[in-house]
Amino acid sequence: MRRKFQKWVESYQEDVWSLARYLLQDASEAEDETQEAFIKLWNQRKTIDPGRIKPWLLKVTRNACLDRLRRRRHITDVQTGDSHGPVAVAQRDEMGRWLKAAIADLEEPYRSLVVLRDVQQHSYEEVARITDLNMSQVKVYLHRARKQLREQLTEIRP
Amino acid sequence: MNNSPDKSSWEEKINALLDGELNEEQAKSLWAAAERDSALDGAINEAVELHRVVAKLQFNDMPRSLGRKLRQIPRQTSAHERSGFLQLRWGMVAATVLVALMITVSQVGPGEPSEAEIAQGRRDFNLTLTYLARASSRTSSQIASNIGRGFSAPVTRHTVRVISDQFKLNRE
Repeated sequence: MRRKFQKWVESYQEDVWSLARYLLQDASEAEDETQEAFIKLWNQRKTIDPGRIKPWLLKVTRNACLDRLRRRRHITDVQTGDSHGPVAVAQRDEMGRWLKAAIADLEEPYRSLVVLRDVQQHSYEEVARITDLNMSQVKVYLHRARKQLREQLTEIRP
Repeated sequence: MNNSPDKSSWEEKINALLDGELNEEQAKSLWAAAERDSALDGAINEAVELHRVVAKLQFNDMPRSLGRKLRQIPRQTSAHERSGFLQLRWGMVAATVLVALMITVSQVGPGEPSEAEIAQGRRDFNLTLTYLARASSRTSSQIASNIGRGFSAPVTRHTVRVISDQFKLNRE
């Protein structure tokens, strides 16, 4: 079982880390949540369907990250400035960095959907399972999120 | 893209294109429409470009130390479970000794015991101490192998000494 667990770690650690990193926007918090997710996986390894380890891990990670975000919302509401303003946009001189920030600024579930589907390339079925949405909801919300990103991109382009 | 009634249907087709859900004929028809409509053409190109960039945006800065910590989870969790089990066993040993002591004390208690009874009590007590010492030694080595020598010796030696001192007995 330990060998199997090591394989799961090798296969899924990057996806779990990346999702936590996108959602929390903080490396040390993402590290905590990644560890927590794998500890839960180890503790519940006997009850999880081996064919669904990845969606299970990503679901647990997403839920934990959203909980953490809810807890710190009142702090960030006060501390965060206008991340959409021209100065902030001008500072994001690189397309990739701008996009990461733009994705981070999306509301839930749009942000998770873009990360899971467009960044991590999971299938629609997996995304639906991870986010507890049905397939048509996933499609509709994801299309809205993509449109939102495109419109933001159009706004900052000369 | 014009503000035609087809706009939302174009949006759907662009998304289907990004998801690879258009068959060859549908894709051709979309591109043909884009040739006639520069706004649609721009929207498609922009969406495709954005999609391509987003697909490369995985965070690849996971610290190496995190990978190490994740791989150690089974060992650490098992060590934790084992130490809990050891604590339970240690508690059982202590409870057994306590019961033996109570029996011994009740035997040498009030009621003017005879010399023979006192001698028997001492022998029983020494036997109990011997068992305790053996149990302590075994538990000590298990604690030492799981937690570290620093923890085990003070616990076990101290326990034996405290019990012996109470009755001012020398082990024979």
